[in-house]
Amino acid sequence: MRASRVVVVATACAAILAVGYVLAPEPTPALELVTPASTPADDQEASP
Amino acid sequence: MTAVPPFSSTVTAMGMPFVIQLQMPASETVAAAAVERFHDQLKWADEVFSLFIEDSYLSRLNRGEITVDDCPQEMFEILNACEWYRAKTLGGFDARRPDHLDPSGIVKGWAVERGAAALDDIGAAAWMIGASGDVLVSGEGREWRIGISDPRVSGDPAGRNVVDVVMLGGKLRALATSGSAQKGLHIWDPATGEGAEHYVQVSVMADNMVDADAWATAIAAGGERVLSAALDAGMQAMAITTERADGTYGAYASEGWPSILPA
Repeated sequence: MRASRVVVVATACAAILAVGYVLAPEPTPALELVTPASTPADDQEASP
Repeated sequence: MTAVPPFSSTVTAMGMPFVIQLQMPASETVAAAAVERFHDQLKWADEVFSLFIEDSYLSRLNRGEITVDDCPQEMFEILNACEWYRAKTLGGFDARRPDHLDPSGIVKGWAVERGAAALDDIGAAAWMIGASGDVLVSGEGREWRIGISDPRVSGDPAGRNVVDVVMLGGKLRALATSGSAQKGLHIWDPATGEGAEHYVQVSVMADNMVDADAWATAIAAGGERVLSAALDAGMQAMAITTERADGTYGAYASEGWPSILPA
């Protein structure tokens, strides 16, 4: 595939991710938002 | 400078919640008024484009009771945009249904972009809008750390597993994610006429939410040929291709995909 690379994505809990930043000099950053996928099921309940 | 706390609010429109966060607004009153104007734009879009409101312009148009000329001019703009995206995405995005038009794949992003002008107007340092799988940020002011939910997670993803964390801001100010491993994509593949099962989940980042939303849907529906077209069009994308026995996923990510997790 053009201009792409293969990656392996390991899932990680957002809270555990934050622990990974404990070594950073600043206070541990937290995720601003975790966003789900939109699904056709959502669409059926949503409008428009 | 006195630190002003972030202002957060959630409004409901189009049958879904929209989370708005403003950084350093002039005051809570000003921020609340801006969010109200944003909400008004979403509600107006719903009144025009909803397929679930019986007397919306789109519902009446689909029933043949009125013509496009009888609708607000935005109807023509949206339907034109749908045709534009159908061509650009090689048919991956298609608002045409057997018996009606369904432009909802771009209406949400369009309405959010339009409503976001109300947030720009008040001069907050930065803002973020979370809209059921899609995120738009002000672009300038700061970058936001956004987690992309694990496809296995259903319901509220807050505090749950993520497959990636990306920085959103600057030119990449919009993120859209489409698909679900649990439910299957169940997105119509216009090339085969059958359900699309190209990817477990597709995320697209762009400089606007309409592009991100339309391309994410199109790639999920059309697979690799549409993904290539998206990259040609300047989109950044991550497509989860396989779920492995050890719980990890195989995925494609474009060269400029702004993940902050180690590959």
